[in-house]
Amino acid sequence: MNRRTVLKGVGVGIGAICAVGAANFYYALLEFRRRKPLIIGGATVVKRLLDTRLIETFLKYYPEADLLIEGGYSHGGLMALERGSIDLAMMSNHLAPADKLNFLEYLIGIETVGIIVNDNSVVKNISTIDARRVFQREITNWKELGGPDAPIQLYSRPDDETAKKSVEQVLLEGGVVHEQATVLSSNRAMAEKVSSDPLAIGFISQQGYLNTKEPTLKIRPLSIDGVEMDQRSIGLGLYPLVRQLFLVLRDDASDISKKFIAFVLSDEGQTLLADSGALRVR
Amino acid sequence: MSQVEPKIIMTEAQSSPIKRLQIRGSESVKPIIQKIGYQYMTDFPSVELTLSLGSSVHGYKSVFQGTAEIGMVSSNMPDELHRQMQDKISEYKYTLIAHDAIAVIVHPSNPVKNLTRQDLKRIFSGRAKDWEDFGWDDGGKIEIYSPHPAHQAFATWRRLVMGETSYVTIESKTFNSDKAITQSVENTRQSIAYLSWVEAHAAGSTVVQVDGQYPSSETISKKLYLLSQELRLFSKIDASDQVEKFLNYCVSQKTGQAIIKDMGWISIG
Repeated sequence: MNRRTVLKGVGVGIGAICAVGAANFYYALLEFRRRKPLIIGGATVVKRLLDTRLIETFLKYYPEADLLIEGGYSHGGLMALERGSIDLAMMSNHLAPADKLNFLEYLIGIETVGIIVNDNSVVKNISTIDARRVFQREITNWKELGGPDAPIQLYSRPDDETAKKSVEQVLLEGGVVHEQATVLSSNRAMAEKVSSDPLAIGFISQQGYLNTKEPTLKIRPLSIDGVEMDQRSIGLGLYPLVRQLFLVLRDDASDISKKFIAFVLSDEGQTLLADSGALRVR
Repeated sequence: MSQVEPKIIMTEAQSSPIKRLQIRGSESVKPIIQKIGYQYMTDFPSVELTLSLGSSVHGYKSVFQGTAEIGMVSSNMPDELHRQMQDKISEYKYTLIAHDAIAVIVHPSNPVKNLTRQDLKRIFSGRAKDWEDFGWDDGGKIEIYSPHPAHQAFATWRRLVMGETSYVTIESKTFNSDKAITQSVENTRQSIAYLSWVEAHAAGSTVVQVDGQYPSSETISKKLYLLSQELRLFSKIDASDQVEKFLNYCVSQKTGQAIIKDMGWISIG
């Protein structure tokens, strides 16, 4: 064996070791970079609260998540979850049917709407039925609600706004707020308008109410059917304009789905949800 | 390549001074927990309770899965769940908070005083159609009223009376509220209906005996009356202090049980 052959042998050996090493390195890198699918579907009201800040923040922590979120209806989401076409179902107001023992339902937040009036209004309470008639302009005078003989000034929000959707779905049972209502563009605008108009009536999310609660703004939520809007009545479901928001997953869910739920229930996730207008539950 | 892990906090042990507890399960327990829970949050403003409603199964399942701290249950654990959790069942406990029952009510002029569970099954499944079969000769055709199938009493009735294979006849008329049932029975001579004893009692309805026993706070709490049910809370044995504190509040004679008595429900004695 001459010197040349020995060197050649050593060269091949080193080459082989390098190749194996490189392959290992790239395999690890590929594995890390592999996208983890996370498909979320169901109730649009939940989607609106997860979009976009909460999802963006989650993706910062878990860039490998290949997240797709699609709004629709609670039951469609559940069916898709059952068939395995999505990872997480968004639901509003209902738990999954009792026979779905393999479904885990996480309450992630509560969405509440207050019917607000000017602080000086003599009207303190409204029945569900009267509230329905006010927003559909079947009642147009404060006299009918125990107030002065004066026209009711009705204020509303744009169609895609969460609080408006709640009013229409929960209070009006699928009906719509009357088209003559003056549409205001923000919680702030709503609070200011009602604060300056003693004949105004409008609505605002509980979180919007808390955010705009300052001494200069003279607004007050009406109690509904005698129940005041406060933490106790909202949590226990005594206050009627409440929607509980759930994320549902199967007991064989992927790791990334569980991480998403954990993030939503974490202090940071709950703070982000509260910023989007829901009440935190954890 | 360091990945930032967010702080994941799944339980109530969080930086915020507010303690949040989730309670979930049977509609039958709802009125009690709403009333006690409201007083509890008034007494302890740093606690926030959230109530989500479904059935007893939701109560059991949610506590097993850890999606809620306290389950509200008014019936026994379904066999399937019991099998699944067999090894772990000793890690959970029940807290009895009140008694309730299903009462059978008829028109005040109805002379029938006693019906067996078998009679009730025949009547409500539509197999027995005439009051004559039960000793009321000019009673005529039986009018059957039932709570809506989505109502908890409907499920309880199925469990206690109808059984797995019999169904409440489609000829029955269903109602959405207890008040509508008691009023309709009051107004209809040949009618028969069932609903929560508390509601029947409060409305002053005419109640019949079931298997020779009238429902009363005594016969129900001693389970002599056969359509009785226990309203219980289900939780982990090693749950947090917050959970224990709430459970103690519910069973204490000075707090929870006083509220239950005040509501006209049957306390645990």
